[in-house]
Amino acid sequence: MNRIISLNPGDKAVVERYAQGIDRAYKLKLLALGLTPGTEFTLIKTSPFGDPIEIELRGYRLSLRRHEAEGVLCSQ
Amino acid sequence: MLTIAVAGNPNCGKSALFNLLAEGRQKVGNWPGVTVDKKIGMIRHKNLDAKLVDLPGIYALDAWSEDERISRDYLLSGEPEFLLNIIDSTNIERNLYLTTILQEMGVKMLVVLNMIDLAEKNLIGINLEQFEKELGSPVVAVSALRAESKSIIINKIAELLKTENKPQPVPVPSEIENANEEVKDELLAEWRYKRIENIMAKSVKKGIPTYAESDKIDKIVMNKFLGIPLFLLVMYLLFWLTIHISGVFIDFFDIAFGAIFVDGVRHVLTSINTPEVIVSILADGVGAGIQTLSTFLPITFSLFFFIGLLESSGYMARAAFVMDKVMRTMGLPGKAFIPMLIGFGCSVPAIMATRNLENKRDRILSVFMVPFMSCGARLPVYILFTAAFFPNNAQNVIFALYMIGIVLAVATGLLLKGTVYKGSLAPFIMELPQYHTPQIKGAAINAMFRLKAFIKKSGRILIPIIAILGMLNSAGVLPAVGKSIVPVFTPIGISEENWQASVGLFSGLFAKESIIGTMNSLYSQDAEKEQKEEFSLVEKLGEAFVSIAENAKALGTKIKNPLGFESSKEDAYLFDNMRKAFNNSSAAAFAFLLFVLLYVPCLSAVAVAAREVGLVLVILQSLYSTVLGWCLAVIFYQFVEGHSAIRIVEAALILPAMVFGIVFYARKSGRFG
Repeated sequence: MNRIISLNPGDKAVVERYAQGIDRAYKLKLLALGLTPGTEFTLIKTSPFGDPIEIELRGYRLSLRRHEAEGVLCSQ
Repeated sequence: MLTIAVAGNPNCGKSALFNLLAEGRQKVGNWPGVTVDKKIGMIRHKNLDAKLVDLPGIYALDAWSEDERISRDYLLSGEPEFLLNIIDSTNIERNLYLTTILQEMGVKMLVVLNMIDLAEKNLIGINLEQFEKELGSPVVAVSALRAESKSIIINKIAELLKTENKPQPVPVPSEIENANEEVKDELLAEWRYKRIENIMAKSVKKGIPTYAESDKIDKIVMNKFLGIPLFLLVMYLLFWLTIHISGVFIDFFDIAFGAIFVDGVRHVLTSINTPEVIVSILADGVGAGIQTLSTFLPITFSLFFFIGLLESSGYMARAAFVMDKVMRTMGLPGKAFIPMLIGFGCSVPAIMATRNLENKRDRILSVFMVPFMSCGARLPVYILFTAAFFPNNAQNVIFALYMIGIVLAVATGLLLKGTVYKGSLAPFIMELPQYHTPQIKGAAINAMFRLKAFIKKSGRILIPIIAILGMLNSAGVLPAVGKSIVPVFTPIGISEENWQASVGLFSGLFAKESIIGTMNSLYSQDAEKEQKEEFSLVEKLGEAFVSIAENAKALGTKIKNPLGFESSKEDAYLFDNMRKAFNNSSAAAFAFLLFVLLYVPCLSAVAVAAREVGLVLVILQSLYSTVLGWCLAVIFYQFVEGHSAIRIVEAALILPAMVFGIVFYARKSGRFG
């Protein structure tokens, strides 16, 4: 099981599940935005300062902070 | 009348479509219990008369987010009888998530595939008939850029209202309804997206990657080395254009509104023998309040116009992406850079710009920090004093004041982050839309809407406050007030005889640049002979129009000399009197400037902030900054010149006590969000 924090630009990954203790409001928003279990996404790039990151999923782009997205467990 | 709600994701082109349908006729309303403005428009068409209510841009209808809660409550209230669900045709899959939720509610609606021109350009093939059938709701495809879209949507709504019955809610499978709390959220979202994927597979053919163009731009704009300098350049341009373009018109509003609402009202009322008390209330009070409010109109409009351009271009999201890490150290999201920056021009629009931040705590934190940025009204005070007391060192002293303000803003951010908001930063989830051509007309309509909201809501607070103080001023009470409060300022080096300085501080409450005017007239002897001119409205309005041309011309010199350090032709006589009044003490003068930098932001800023975060927090902020300013000024003056250990200890005790009190209150009261 991988965490978003360890992905590099260009890497693809699939959402496996959400970690147990994750903030529910945060999880609900990510789910609404399409980051449902089974969804593939690509890490496009990082901000010039290294964080946040930009990912592509379902044909659009989303940006998240690495450490906040830690609760999104994925596989490569 | 029929009420139609308009719902859609952020960045779906909703406001452009709203403007097209309502033809720019927009009213400002209130959502219950929150500061988010409600935008209301009217459709007047031969086939349809309806009220259009714009919902905030949302992705779902969860109770966790303020915007989504407002939208859900409104949809469930039964007031809207029809719903327009706007969808970005280049991003159908994600946009349909909200649609599926709306279908589960069983509301009568029309799904509008917006920006269909861009979808066509990207070769996204939508089989409209099939799409409608799979989705199970009526659909039209339009572009807000095409004028015929208006009648397409309106005719379809009119037709649906005649024929369609209220649709059955799309049922959620019972195994999901009854699922365990721990997995229900995931199962429900997965089920909705499965439905969407199924619709997509049967009716939408994928086109070329929609971000291809944007990626090319991002290669430069978000480049590791160029990204930050470009960001700074764009922000500098935003600041420069906002301040200087509005600067051309500010005197026009000041003179014209003064001529009509102060002098004009006085002239008319006096000529019909109205008692002086009433003349004073209406002219010097209410009239002066309207005049003050009017001077903020150009800067408010131009700020929101340029922000609107940046937002519609898609760059604003990139700016937030670039700055997030830096701003995060102060507990703020990247977007909060904008209010801080605009604060160097004027706190009023800067505080209004905090509206663009999603979380209440981010808005509160920004409102606490923005007033520490030296605004344009403080600069002339700095220039006058440095010219008199630091003639060889003016730039450095002014630069130091700006830096002190920034350092204190950052310190305030760190303080609140470390105590009240202890580590818990609001999470950052932001869509990065594609780049688009900036929408000039849309930005102008949006800025007009913000202007209306400003006049309607801030005017209600600002005009009465200015009215009361304006009346006190014209009644000649101010010198007495100044003399009575001067003892408070003796520890910062203002002697009892120098009551003019405290009157100046008092008049600075109206606008900080008034400090100059007041002190100028009090320190110069010709203060008494204020000539009564013959009033002529035509002449004054002429003068107002001339000011536009003059300021526009002056803009040329500002480009050459951006900080405005001209060799000041101020009276040597005035400087002499100022030096005498401050006992030739440059330490006292600097302490005074420190206090000018930090004490209560002007009343207009207070009024606007009260609307954003509530009166209690604004009073707290004013208290915080004023006590902070006083303590720092005392400590500085006593260290350098006064050499009174007791005064230093006093200030050094008051400061932490005040900070502790505010933090304690903030934690206890729960008002800080």
